Amino acid sequence: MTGFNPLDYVNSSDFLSTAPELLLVGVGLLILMLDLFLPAKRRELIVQVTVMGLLLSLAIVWIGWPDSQSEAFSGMLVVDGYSQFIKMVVLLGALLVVFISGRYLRNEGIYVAEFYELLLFSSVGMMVMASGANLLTIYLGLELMSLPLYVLAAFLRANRRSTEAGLKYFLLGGFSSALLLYGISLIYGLTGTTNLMALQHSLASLPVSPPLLVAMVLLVAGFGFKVSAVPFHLWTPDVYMGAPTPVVAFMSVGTKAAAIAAFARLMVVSFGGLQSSVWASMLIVLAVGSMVLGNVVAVVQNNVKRMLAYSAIGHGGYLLVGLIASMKPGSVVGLPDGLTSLLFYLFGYLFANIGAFAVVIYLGREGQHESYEDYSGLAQTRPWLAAVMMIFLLSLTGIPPTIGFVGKFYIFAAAIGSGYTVLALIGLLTSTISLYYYMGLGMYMYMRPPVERHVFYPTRGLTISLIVCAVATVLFGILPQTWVHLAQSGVLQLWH
Amino acid sequence: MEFIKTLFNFPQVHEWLGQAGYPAVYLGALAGAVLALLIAAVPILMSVCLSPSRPSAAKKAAYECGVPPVGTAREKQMVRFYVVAILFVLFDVETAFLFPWAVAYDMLGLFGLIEMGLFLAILIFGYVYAWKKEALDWVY
Repeated sequence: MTGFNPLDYVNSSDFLSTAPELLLVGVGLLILMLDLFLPAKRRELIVQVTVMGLLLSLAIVWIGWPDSQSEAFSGMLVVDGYSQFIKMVVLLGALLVVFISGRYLRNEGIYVAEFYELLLFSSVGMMVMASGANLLTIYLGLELMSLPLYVLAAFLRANRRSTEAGLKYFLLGGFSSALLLYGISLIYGLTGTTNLMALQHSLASLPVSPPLLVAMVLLVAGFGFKVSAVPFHLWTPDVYMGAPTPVVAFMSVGTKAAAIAAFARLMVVSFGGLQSSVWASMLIVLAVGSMVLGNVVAVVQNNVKRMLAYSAIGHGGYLLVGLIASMKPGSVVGLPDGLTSLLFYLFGYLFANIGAFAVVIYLGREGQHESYEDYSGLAQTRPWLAAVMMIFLLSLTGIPPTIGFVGKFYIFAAAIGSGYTVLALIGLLTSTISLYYYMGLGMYMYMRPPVERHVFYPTRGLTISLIVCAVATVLFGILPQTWVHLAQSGVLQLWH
Repeated sequence: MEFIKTLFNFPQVHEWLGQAGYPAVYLGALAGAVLALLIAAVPILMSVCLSPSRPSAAKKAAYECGVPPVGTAREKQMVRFYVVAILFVLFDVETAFLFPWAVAYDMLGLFGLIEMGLFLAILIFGYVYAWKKEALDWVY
């Protein structure tokens, strides 16, 4: 052991390639200290530092966009276009959430510094998941992502529904982490490695045995919980309804992006070589269940947050279709189209979904004015607000010329391209169902007389984020090429 | 150990494990699991089967170090205990991480020192936070 030198295992490029994450951790600690030592009047600085940190991290991701895959920390993490795309989605999501949460936090009496700090740490967890090339780093990222979210979900301490949401999310989340960890330990027991690339080689030569099946079921259950896929979705409606709205906006996009990213990397890179297509049948059940149940149950909801929760389950199903379309049984190299469409769909979902939640925040305080009736006649009282909400709803349904249409188009095209025509058909049918409830809300806004109510909570941050989301939703719906190419080049780096 | 090896050295067991997809090296783990189960189960079964059962009120009472119990154990606890408990766990883990580093300090060198400094710095941020938020004050 005398010849041991820790610097053989770590070098400076490791820290360079994880600079976006490290920066966010530093900013998180900094704002915690700012909160303690700044006089109350200058606390605004906390928001500015958070935004600067996120922007700088985004800039580092953007400037250092890789042309090929590179390893960091002895292969525990990889940095490639795929991971950077997810990181971009997560950082943009966190940035928009900071913008939409300013007034909300003041109205509900939430501690500002702790909120932003937990938001940053959770983002770091998501970024680690996106880069994770080892089952253990993925698990570490998952926990770092989830623990702050449990606290954030229960952040309205005096609100019963919020504390219930936090506790429910914590208990079920802890249980699903345990399942995931058990699956990882079984995989390690069968192959002797937790590295995704090494797993590919061991699994390709291994017969599909009962322990391997159990391990895969456990992994699918663990990740399925985070993507809120049926039958692991039961926590979603209650948590989405009870948790603070900005947290839900962040959770719905960030958690989903990070979890499906890590899941897809594991499935495509490690399990892609399996001789049997048993994983595909497992995922098809999940995808069909999510698409059908999410969209059908959303029809009967009368609470906008709850409707968005069920629609989030449905969107999780569409993402799974993209993942299924990317795998070819018995081939180590999958089909890039599925994952490309998945990444692009996430990018579009980011703007449309956070935009929709921004409108919910604009319209009312927590737990108030969330029913469909409260949106009656919005087109007369606030025509612009109704118009942007309509854009987000159209995008979530998947109607041109919005980004949601392009996303769904690519996903179904990829599914048909890999031979899953029935899956694409079910996706199309459920999208039609979703038209009913999204446009139901649109009908309330445009075709009902205004209700006696409406204290609005506009802020500059909300306005900015609404404009950004609406412009992005339409603009990238018309000109999606840049992002599709970016996603495609990232996905192609996965196998190198 | 030799006893366990011979006990489980049947060809059938090997074959069964192989079919289930487990390499044969897990035979030891299986043997250990069975042995642990037996060590736990046999004394319990023995005491159930062999010992006479003559319950009385005194025997059924909760054991309180030989003193007759006073009231129920389900009393209200001060809620501030939980903050202390959380902080204890946090700083306890810190020590658990410091020990292995201290043992291998000479091999890890300057790099290890810096890494541990960073680790402690992050914990000190948490300590300052807890201090300033008055989590350490027992009385308001």
